[in-house]
Amino acid sequence: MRKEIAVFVLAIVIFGVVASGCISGGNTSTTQTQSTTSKQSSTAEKTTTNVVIYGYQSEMITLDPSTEFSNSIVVLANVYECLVKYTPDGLKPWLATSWESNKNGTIWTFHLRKGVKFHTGNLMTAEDVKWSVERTMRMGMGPAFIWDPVKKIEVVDNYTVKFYLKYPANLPLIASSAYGAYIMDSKYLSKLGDDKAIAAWFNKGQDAGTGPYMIVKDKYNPKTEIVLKKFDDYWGGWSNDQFDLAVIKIIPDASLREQMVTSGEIQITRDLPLDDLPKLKNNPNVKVDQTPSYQELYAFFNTKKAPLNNKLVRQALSYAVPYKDIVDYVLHGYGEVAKGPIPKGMLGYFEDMKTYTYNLDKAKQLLAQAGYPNGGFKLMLTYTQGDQAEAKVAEIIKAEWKKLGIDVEIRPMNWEQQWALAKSDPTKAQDILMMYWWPTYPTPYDFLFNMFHCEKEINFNLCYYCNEEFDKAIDKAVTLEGIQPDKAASLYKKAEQMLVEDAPAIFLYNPDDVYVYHKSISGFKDNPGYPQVVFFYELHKA
Amino acid sequence: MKFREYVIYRLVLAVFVIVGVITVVFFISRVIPSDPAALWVGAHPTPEAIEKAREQLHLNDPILKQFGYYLWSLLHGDLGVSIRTHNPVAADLKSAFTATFELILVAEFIAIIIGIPLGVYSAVKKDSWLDNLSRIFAISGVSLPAFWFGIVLQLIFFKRLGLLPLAGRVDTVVMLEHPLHVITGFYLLDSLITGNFPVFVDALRHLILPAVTLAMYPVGLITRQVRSMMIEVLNENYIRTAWAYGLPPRKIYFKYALKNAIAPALITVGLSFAYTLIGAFLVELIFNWPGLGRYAAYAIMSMDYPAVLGVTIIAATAYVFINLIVDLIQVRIDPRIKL
Amino acid sequence: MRKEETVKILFRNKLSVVGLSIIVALVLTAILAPVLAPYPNQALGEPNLKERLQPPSRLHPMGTDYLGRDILSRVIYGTRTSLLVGFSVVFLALLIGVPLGLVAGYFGGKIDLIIMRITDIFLAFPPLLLALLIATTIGRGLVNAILALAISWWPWYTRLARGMAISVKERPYVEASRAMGIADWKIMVRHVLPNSLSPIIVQATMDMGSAILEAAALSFLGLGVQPPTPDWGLMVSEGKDYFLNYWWYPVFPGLAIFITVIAFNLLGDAVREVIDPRLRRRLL
Repeated sequence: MRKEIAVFVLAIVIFGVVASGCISGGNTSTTQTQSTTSKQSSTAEKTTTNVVIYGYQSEMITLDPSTEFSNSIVVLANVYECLVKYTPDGLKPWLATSWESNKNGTIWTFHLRKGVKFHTGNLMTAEDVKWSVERTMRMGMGPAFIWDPVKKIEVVDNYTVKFYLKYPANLPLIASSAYGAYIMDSKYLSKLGDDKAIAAWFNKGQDAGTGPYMIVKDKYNPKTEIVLKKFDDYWGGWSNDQFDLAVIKIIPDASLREQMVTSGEIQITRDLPLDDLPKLKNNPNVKVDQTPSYQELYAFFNTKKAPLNNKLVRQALSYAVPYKDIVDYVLHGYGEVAKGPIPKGMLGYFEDMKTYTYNLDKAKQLLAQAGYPNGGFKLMLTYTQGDQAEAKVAEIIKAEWKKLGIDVEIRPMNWEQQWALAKSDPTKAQDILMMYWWPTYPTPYDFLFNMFHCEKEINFNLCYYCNEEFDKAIDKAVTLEGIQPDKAASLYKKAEQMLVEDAPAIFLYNPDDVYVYHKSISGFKDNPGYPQVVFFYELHKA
Repeated sequence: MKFREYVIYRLVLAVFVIVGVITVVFFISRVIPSDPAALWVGAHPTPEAIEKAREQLHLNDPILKQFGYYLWSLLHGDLGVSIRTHNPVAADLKSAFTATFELILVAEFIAIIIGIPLGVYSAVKKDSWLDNLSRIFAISGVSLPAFWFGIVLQLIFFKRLGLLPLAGRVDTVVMLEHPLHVITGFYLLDSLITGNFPVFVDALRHLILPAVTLAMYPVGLITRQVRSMMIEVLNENYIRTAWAYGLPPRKIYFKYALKNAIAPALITVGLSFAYTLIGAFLVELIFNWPGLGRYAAYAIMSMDYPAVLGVTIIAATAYVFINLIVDLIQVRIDPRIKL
Repeated sequence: MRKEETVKILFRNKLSVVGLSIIVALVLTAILAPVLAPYPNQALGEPNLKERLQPPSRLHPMGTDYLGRDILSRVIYGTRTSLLVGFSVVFLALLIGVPLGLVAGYFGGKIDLIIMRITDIFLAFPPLLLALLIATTIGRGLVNAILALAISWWPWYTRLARGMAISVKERPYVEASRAMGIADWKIMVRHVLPNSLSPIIVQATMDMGSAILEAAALSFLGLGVQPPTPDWGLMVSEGKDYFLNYWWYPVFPGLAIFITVIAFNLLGDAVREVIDPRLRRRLL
């Protein structure tokens, strides 16, 4: 059967060669086509290609490093660089080789790497750092708020830049942010016109970064694929077993990505159906990489509406969740039961934090204490449409709480819709809202402030929790992060314990980031500080 | 009414209908209790960022004013910017359109080459086992859930037999090694013109499954239509005369009878075109085909209203004009229809 | 007399008998679901986490789904959802469409013009698109899906009813009633409606298949019936994420949709031939 098809295809190709030869009549074109056909046979074997393809699930949005606050960092982090690189083992030099601060953490000095070239050919200097950060702050969109502590940026010399802050902050961590901290070529960009003109230039598929790869403009198609080409003058240098081309291919369908990575059509991908991972682990063609992510799934209680305005009911429901089962069956073990509001691996995570465990008797007892011995109330739960894991958790919770006499109505909604409902009148909003959170840059303050700090206008505090003592603790802790991390940690711990006690949300789990890559590549290492990013420069041919 | 007046009357009506469609879609998609600004700014925005976006997108203006803005820019050929992709909708649609059109053309081609002969033979051998079989086939065609049939085909031809690619329009590596010079946007045609055979073969292989899936509905329609028209025509006097003259059956069926049965069948083809446009919705999702259907589905599900409007305008316009043309042809060829 | 003839012809046509038998079987399945389904609790959504994604076996003839629920049981219960949705959509669409069409046809003139132009606008929407839009607007769920489909469906019946009303209007007894000064609405209820109804009802029955198909498409896109309701379209949609390694997951529920729709279409096809082969030349 295979043979017949091969013959058939060959026949078509030969026919085509002859036909095109006849049509054009020239010798040159005939040889050209012939070389094309011979090349095709080599494609079939897929050995000579010097391409690494990352199968990615959703389309890219914008490419402006100042405003991009979405998934395009998958491209940007390969094309641009920050001053500092975040790793789970601490901060590492990137475009800056070293940094220091004054005693109370309000002035930070960065020493820049010398001899770094932009893709445009210009040399990277302190002026570029100042210009890039100032542009981001000026445009005030997306992730610009990360620079809120900055009062003034001073260029000391070509390779030294000084940040003056309004209040103490952990500036090196901010400078490592996956969003809004990329350094751009000011000499080239400022000639293009105003900020809007520059943004338009970016979105045509062009870049002005220092990273190891650059965007190939004429192949740029944010809906199907983004082709990156290696930058020959990259300051880090190149070795032979790295990839000349890197492609981010948009494949929304998970089972399709799975199929492609096992067959070697793509080399690396993520977000595959968790149910298939055990099978993939036994597949000799691929490797499965599992790293804790800085994500956590929460189910927020509406603390403004009966019966969930009663702390006892919230505690009862927190006991009535089979945490372990959820991690085992929904995540297939690729993740951990959450210990409080902060994911494992980050500052502010505490192994010894006392949290809720599955205990239906305790739940019943607390419910009785609250005046609902047989349940008897209805709750509306919303989650983000299309998220398989959330869907399963919702169905499990529904089945479990039925045992307490509580009827849960599950309603999947678009994120924007669900959010709009939660931000409207709390007394009419959903009773429970499920949502993931991940930090813009890895600080616990991002979690605690956004979701649990008092808010006059509701933004992300979707449990409507407000506790001044809690606010005071975290507001103090964040200023100490850069200079007195231990003190900051103990303040965070105090705050988190209040949250666990008040139970404004169920802390469900921290999923692992699971990447699956083909055996033809090596060197992959997931960096949870840059979610979903594959650093192509670190990859090698195996 | 003269024909020309009728045409003008119909054209005016068509414009009215399309404006109506735009109005309906605009208001439906704007009363949704959701916040386009939240979609625009991305995952974790500050309240200030949302407020800024709201202003930028004119969301704080009264809805009628927003509608005015929309119509005004539409008159200038501007379909607005997609909230989800931040691209101009027109640009998004342009690239999606050729992908869908290529798929539909191939599907219709398959439908015609299967549907017409099947309909003819079915009519000729009316009530035979062949007729019954072809009727079951035709009814199956219009009864198949396309989204399911696509999955079944993928299971058979990709998973089981390994003959055809699972999804997509063309293989990335093939495209990288044999860059396609895009002229028309139809990959089959472009690769043929430029003599890029690896891409041609690859694009063809990718087209087969989605095109077959998409063709099932029109195949059913065409077979049914051709059959019933042929049965009618075969009872006409001139066909009996032809038999009396002892002309060969093949000639009678395909030359004399089909000629008269084909016009209504072609109308069905035309109308099924419009339907296929929608069928493409689900098929494109299953086969990850970067066309209008996939775009529309994503737009609707993320409530990206400028994109939804753009797709609807394109689809409704195509629908209205295909209907219009079909009606006009019918008027032209069928003297019984009074204007 | 005509009715008896119709029935006779229908029974002579083997295919229509097949279609009818399947429909009867489906209705019985829907009614007897709690008896027929091996695991009624799982069909209604109870997870069975220990037996997830099991291939077809004696215990689970169609395998199990991502929460370990028996797919056969869910398919059996899904009959209820499908028939309910199909019937409700067509019924609601009739409720909106027929009165409008009768009014338009009976009165003619400006009323006719306005109603028919509105109908044109709704007909210009690619069918599924309008339903999708409405479903996203009013929210997902069983009732909303029915509403969304009905709103995109009624114009067909308006057209049909209008044509019927125009032809009935000219009949002598209607003209006589009018001459006697009987109120228009009385004439419509007494004469026009009963005399237009039978072809409309026939058409509506035939449309059940398409309605079920569209409802399934809506669920497949996640905009229709919501989990854990047992629904075929939804099950295919869930199964799509697993289909390459767990083929049974989407295949059986999809097969159920296919068989149901084909049954209605087989019957419809035969009916169409009996009543009027040209009744719906424009199938779209």
